Amino acid sequence: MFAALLHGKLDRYLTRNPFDIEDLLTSVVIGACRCVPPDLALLPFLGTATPLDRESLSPLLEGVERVEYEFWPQWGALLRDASDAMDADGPVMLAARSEPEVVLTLHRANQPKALLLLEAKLHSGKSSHADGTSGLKDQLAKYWGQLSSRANHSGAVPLGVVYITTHHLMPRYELGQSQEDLRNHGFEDASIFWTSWRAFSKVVTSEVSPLDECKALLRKHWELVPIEEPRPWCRPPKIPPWQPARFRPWWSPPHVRAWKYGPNS
Amino acid sequence: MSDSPTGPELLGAINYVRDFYRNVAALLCAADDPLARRGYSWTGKSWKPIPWPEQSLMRADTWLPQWVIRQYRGGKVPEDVLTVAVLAFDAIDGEWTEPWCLASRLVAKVTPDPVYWVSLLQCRTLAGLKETPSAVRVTRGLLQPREERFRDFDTIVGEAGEIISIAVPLVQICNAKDLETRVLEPVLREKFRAG
Repeated sequence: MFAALLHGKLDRYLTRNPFDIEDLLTSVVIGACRCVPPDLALLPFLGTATPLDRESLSPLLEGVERVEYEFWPQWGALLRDASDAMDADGPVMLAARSEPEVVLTLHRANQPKALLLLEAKLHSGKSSHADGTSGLKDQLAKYWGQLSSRANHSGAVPLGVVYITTHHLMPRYELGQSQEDLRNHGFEDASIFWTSWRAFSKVVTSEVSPLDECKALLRKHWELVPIEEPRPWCRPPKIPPWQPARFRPWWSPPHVRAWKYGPNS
Repeated sequence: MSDSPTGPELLGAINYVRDFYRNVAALLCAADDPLARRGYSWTGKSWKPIPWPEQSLMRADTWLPQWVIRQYRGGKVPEDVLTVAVLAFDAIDGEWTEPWCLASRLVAKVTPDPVYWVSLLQCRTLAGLKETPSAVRVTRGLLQPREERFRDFDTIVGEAGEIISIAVPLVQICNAKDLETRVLEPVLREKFRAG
């Protein structure tokens, strides 16, 4: 897959530019992480995730020994009167069915296992927003509710939702909307983090395969690299005064023949 | 033949132009951080910040990007729209002598496509002709007397509204700090009087 993408072998078979496909980006980057030990790529990358006005995710990832990956799990709706509501004493959550990008189960030394949900974006923003009706409608808020419920049922800790986008800086407004939707439904602020695809090449320094290919794809095809610092303007090179000559073709246009049914018909 | 440049000279000029636009992009992205601290976020998704490069061969004299734009929104309704741009050259006005770094802010009633450039239209004529650049207010009465200018202004800004703009010679903006203090802060300091 990496080699075929890097060499443009898939483009002609797809009706859509492969580098516009969000799921392919997720598959390439997180899939590459799965092929190497977590401390080489996944944990440094997720360690760059930060929430609104809080510490980064990095300290919560200490002691992770093993990671299970689940891509695009199908989660059913959480109903208001369902027994698997997040908190029996608190408000009962209503969240529609969901299909998050990736759910990670982190096995940590001397700690309960933790669930971390990754929601990836390329060109689009959140797929759903709070609309004033009952139930969590904001995509990230909904995922946090779902993740919390599932973690409680499996004896795990809901570590958080990581929103991965192409932004250079945190889309604070989008994260704020999600927290607001939770607050409007009587919940405390959730552990919603953000990081950028651009951070991957910055913090993943290992050059082993397939991380190297993954970084090459991010750089060459998705152009998801950290932004350069602007530099002072430099003086343009001096060029002697010169007027380009008028272009004249150096060959005669070929005689063009057209046929309706092909040359041999 | 003695006046003809050498191949390396020509290539050097082309590389210079390429580096110029690369640096312009880096400069505009450097606005992300100071604006995020002030509650603005970049919202460009489908709109192309460098317009019409695909016209390269059909219109060989105008394909070079004239404007490079990065637009931010304050996230409120009506929306506080702040556009940061570099105007590299003017394809029409041959008297124009240097590139500019611009910032322009308006409160938009609606945000159709022209919101990407309507706030910048008057920068060159109103904000860019002063020895010491400072923010200027563009009202409906100061628009170029053209029907489409009035139509876009009325649609987006509203008749009582105004646009706050600044234009600073690009050579004076050499790093992210210059961009923040000399371009962004002057337009953010000004309050809208009406609208």
